[in-house]
Amino acid sequence: MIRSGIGLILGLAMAVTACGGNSNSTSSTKIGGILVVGRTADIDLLDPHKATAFQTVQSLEQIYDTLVGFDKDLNLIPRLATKWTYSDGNQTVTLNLRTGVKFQDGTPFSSADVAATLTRILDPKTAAVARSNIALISKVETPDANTVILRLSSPNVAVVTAMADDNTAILSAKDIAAGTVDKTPNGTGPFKFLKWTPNQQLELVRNPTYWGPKPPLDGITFRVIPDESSVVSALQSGNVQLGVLSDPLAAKQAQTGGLHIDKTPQLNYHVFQLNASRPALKDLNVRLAIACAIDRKQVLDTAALGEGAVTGPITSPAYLSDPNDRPCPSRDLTKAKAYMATAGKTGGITLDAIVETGEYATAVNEMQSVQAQLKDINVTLNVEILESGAYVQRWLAANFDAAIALNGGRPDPETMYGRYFTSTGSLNKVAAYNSPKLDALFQQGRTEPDVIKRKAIYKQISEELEQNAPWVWMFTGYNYNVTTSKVHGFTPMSNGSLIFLRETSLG
Amino acid sequence: MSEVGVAIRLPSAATAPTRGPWWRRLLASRSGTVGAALTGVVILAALAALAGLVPHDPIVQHPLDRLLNPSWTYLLGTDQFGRDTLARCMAGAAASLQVSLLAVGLATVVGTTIGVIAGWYGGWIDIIAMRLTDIFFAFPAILLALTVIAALGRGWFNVAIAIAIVYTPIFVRMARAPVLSLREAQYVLAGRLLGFSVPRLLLRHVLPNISSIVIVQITLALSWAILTESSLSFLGLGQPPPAPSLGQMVSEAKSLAVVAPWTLFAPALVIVIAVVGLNLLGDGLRDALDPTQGR
Amino acid sequence: MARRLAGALLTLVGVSLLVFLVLRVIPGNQITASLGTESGVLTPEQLASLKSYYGLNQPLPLQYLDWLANVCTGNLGLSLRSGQSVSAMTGASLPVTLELALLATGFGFVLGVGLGMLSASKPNSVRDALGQGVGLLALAIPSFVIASALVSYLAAKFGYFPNALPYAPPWEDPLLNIQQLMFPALVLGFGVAAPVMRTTRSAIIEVSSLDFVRTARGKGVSPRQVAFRHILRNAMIPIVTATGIQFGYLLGGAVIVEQIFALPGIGRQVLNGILQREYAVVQSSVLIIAAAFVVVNLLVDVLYRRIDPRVRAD
Repeated sequence: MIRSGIGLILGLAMAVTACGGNSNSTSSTKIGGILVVGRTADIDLLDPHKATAFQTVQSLEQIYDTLVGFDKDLNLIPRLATKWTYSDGNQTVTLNLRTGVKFQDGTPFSSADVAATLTRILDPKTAAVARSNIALISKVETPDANTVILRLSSPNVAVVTAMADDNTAILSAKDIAAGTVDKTPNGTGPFKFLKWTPNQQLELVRNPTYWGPKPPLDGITFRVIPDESSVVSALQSGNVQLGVLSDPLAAKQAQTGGLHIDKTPQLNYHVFQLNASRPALKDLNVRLAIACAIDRKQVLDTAALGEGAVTGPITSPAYLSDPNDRPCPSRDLTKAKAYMATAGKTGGITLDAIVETGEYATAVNEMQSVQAQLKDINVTLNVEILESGAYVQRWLAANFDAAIALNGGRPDPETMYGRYFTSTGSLNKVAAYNSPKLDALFQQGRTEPDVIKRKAIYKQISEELEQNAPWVWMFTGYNYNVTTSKVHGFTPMSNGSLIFLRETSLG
Repeated sequence: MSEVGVAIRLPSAATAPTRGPWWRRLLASRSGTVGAALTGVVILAALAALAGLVPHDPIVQHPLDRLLNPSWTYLLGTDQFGRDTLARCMAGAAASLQVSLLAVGLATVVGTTIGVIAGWYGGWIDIIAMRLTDIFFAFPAILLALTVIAALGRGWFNVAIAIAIVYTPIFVRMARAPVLSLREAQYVLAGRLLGFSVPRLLLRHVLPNISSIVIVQITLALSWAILTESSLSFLGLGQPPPAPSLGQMVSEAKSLAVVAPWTLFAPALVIVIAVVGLNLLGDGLRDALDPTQGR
Repeated sequence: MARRLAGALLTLVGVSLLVFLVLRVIPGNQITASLGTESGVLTPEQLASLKSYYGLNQPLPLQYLDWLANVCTGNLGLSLRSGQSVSAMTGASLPVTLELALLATGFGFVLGVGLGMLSASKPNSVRDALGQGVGLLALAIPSFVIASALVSYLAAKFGYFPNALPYAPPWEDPLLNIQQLMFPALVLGFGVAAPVMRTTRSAIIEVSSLDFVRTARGKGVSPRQVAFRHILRNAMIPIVTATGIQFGYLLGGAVIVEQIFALPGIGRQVLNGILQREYAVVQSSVLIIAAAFVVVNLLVDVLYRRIDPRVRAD
C-alpha cells in the first residue's frame, strides 16, 4: 500500500516493487485492518427507513440489525429475533427477541425499540420505503421486554421475510423520539458509524459491544470513486481491497493482474414486458408467439456479453424458477408462427416499445436484439429511447405496448411479484395482467408458513406466469465483487449485500 | 474545457499570397493545406459511411469475433461485441459531424443574426444582447450542455441543441464587433443616405464583410463541438447506443485500454484528426479570406 | 468601475434565473430521481408529504424568490439527501477545484508560453510548425482519454493510483496532495496550453516588429536579452489576460477530470446535483462558479487596464 508522507520517488519505487499480488495469508483468521470498499456512488442519507439507493442500504446494514436476516441462499436466519411462531390462523406472529443486546450508544435493546421502529415505518408521515411491505401489521404488542406480538389484518407470512430488509432496521426508541435518526446512526450491528464525508467516503469501525462473534476487521471504509475503470485501477494499486462493479467491461479490465472476481447472479431481472391490456396483446396466442420467438440466450450474449444467466420469473435462490419451464425453452420459430396464425396475425403487428437509457448499460442493446428477433415473426417494434425521468413516468402509467425493463428482485417471491400480478397489487397496472387463479395462488403463498409447501406454491405461480406470458423473462446480470488477494472470508450474495463483511478478514 | 473559439488571431504569414481566388490562397499556406487535407479525410470517411460504403455494418455484431486485433478482415480490429472498429469509426465520424454541423449551423444563424442586429441598432437592443451573452458566458459551458441534455433527454438532436445553446453567444459577440465599425464606414453611410432599406444594407454590405470572420469561427466551433460531444458521451449524456458516435466509442473503450488498445485509439485518433484538421483549416481560411486583417 | 460591478451583479442574477428555469424543465423531480420506479408504490398521502418536504408544492416564482432571498442572506440551501448545507459542501469542494485550476493554469502557462516562444522565434519554419502542432495536439485529444489512459496504465503497470486514497488537502498532507493533483492538473493544463500558445505566438510576433525592438537589436543588445527583457515583457499583457480567462473556464470545466481522478471538486458537486435533481445544490453551486468566473474576469480586466496605458476606451 502506498502510504502518504513518503516522497513521490520513494512512493513510486515502493509501488513498483510491491505491485500486484502479495503472498497468501496464513490459515488462521487475522484480526485487524481496515477494509476499503470502492464504489461509484455515495450513500445518500443515513436513515435506513428511507434508504432506496442500493449503496446506501449496503452500508447501513453494517450498522443496523434487522429482526431476521438471510444466509447465503437467502433463507431466513435469526438476527434480533431468535424465534418466530405463527398462531391464530397465521394472523399472529410471536417474535422472541435476543437478550443482552445493546445499541452502539450503550442503550439496552428491548421490545420497546421494535415497537417504536415498526410504528415509525407504518406511519405515513415517515414515507418509509418498507411501509407497503408490512402494511398488514395492524397491531404491535410488547407483553414483555423480550417478546413482540404482531397482529396482522390478514395472514401473510411474507411479512416476516420483509423484516429481513434493511429498510426495517431496528432503531432505538430513544433516537426516534429525539428525531436524531437521520443525523447520528445508532444501531446494534457489528460496525458503528465513525464519519461521513459526503461524496468521498463513509468510515465505520468495529462495534466493541456487538452481540455476535467479533468481526475480524477493525473497520470498513466505503470510498467513492465515480468511474468504474478507476475502481479497478484503485484495486490494482492496493488502496482499495474490495470493488463493487456492475459493468462487465470493467470486470474484464480487472482480470489482468492478481485480483479475484466473484460473479453472482443478481436478484434483479431483465425482462421484456408486454402490456396485455392493449388490444394488440390481449390475445394469449400473440404473447406466446412473442415469447417463443425470443432467444433469451442470444439477448444475453449480444447485449450483455453473456455475462449473466437466463432466468424464469423468480430469481431468489431459495425459490428459483427453472428457466426451461416454459412453452418454448429455447427459440422455436415454428411454434411462434403457429401461434401467430392461430391469432390470425400472420400479416404482422406493430408495437410501441420503450426503453431506458443511462441507468444501466445493456438496456438499449437488449431492445435491439429483441427487435431483430421479433422481425422474424412479423412483429415490428417502434422503439422510443427515453431518458430515465421520462421512462419512469411512462412505465408507471403503463403507457406502452412493450418495454424493456430491469426490475428489482426480492428474496421473497410475494414481495417480488405480489404487487404486480394480483388484482389488488399496487403495480398491477404496470404488469397489465391478473387472473383469479393467480390471485388464489398468491393468497395461498402468503399464508403458508411451511417453507417446503411455500416453495411448491411459488413453483406453480412461476409456471402460471410463463404459460400466460404477460412478460418475457430474459436474464439476470451478475454482481461483480472484485477483491485483492489480501481479502479472506468474503461471501458475496445475490442481493448484492455485503452483510458478510462481518466475517471477512484482511490477511 | 478551454474555449477554442475565442483564440486570438494568428498573424498572417508575411509570405501568404494576396492574389488569386481564396482557395488558391488557402492551399498555398501550409496550415491551410494540411487542415483541408485532414478535414477532407474525415468528411470523406463520414460520407462513405452514410453511403453505406463500409467494410462491415457498424451495428451488426459478430459474437465470435470479439476483441480481435487488426487483421485483413477487420482493418482496425473489433470491439467487445464483435463489431468492426473501422466501420464504427466511419459511422461515428458521420454522426459526430452531423451533430456538430447542426449545432454550429444553428449557433451561426441565430448568433450572427442577433449579433448583427445588436451591433447595427445599438442602444437597448445592444445592451440586452450583451447582458444575455454575459450570462451565458458566465455559466460553465459543459455544465450548461449537461443541464440542457438532462432537460431534453438524449438523442443526437438534443445534443446538437445543447451545443448550439452554448455556442450562440460566441457568435453574437463575434459578429457584433465588426458591425460596430462597419456601421460608420463610408459606403454604408452613403447607402443609408441614399435610403437603402436596412435589410438590404445588412445583407448586401455588412454580411459579406463579416463573412470571413464568421467562416473561420465556424471551423473552430465545429472542432469544439466534436470535443464536447465526446465529453458528453463520456458523462453518459451523449447519443444513446447502438448508433456509434466517436465519444461513445472512446468512453466505452477506456476500460479496454490495456486489453484491446485499438478500440480506444482508433476513435480517439479520428477525433484528433478532425479537431486538428478543422483548426488548421480555420487558420488557413483566416489568412486566405482576409489577408489584410493579419496583425 | 461601479458600472462594471453593477453589470456583474446583473449578470449573476441572470445566471441564477437561467439555472433555476433550466432545472425546472427537467422531467421528474427529486422524488422520482431518488425512488425511480419505486415511486409508483407511494400512496397519494406519502407523495404529498414528500412533495412538501422537498418544497415542490409552492408556485414556481415563489420558489425562485425564496431561494434568491436565502442566497443573499448567505443561506445557499440544503442538500436534501445528506442534510448538509450547500455552503458547507461548497466550502469543501471549491478549494479543491481552485487548487486544481491554479496548478493546471500554471502548467498550461509554462507549456503554452514555451511553445509560443518556440514558434514565434522563427515564424513559418519547422520550429513554428512543431510548436503549433504540439499545442494543437494537446487541445485535440479529449481530456478524458488522456486521463483514463494515464490512470489505467499507471495502476496496471505500477500499482500506482494515489487518488484511490481519500483526498488530502494541502495543509494536511502536502505530499499526497501534490501526487493527487499532479496528473489531473497535467491533463487539464494541456487544454490551457493551446490558446496560451497562440496568444504568445501572435503577441511576440507583433511586438517583435515594433520599433523599439528594432532599435534594441540595432544597438547590439543580445538576442536573449531582446527576447526576454524587451519582447516577452511587453507581450505579457495579452498572454496573462488569455491565461486568466482560461483559469475562469477551468472552474466549471474540470468535471470530467474530477470524475476520473475521484477529486471532490465543485464540478462533480454540480454533476451529482443534476443527476439527483438536487435543485438547491445545482442552483447555488452554479451561481458560485459563475460568480468566481465573473470575479476572475473583472480582476483580469482591471489588471489589463492598469498595466497597459494604451487602453482607454469603453
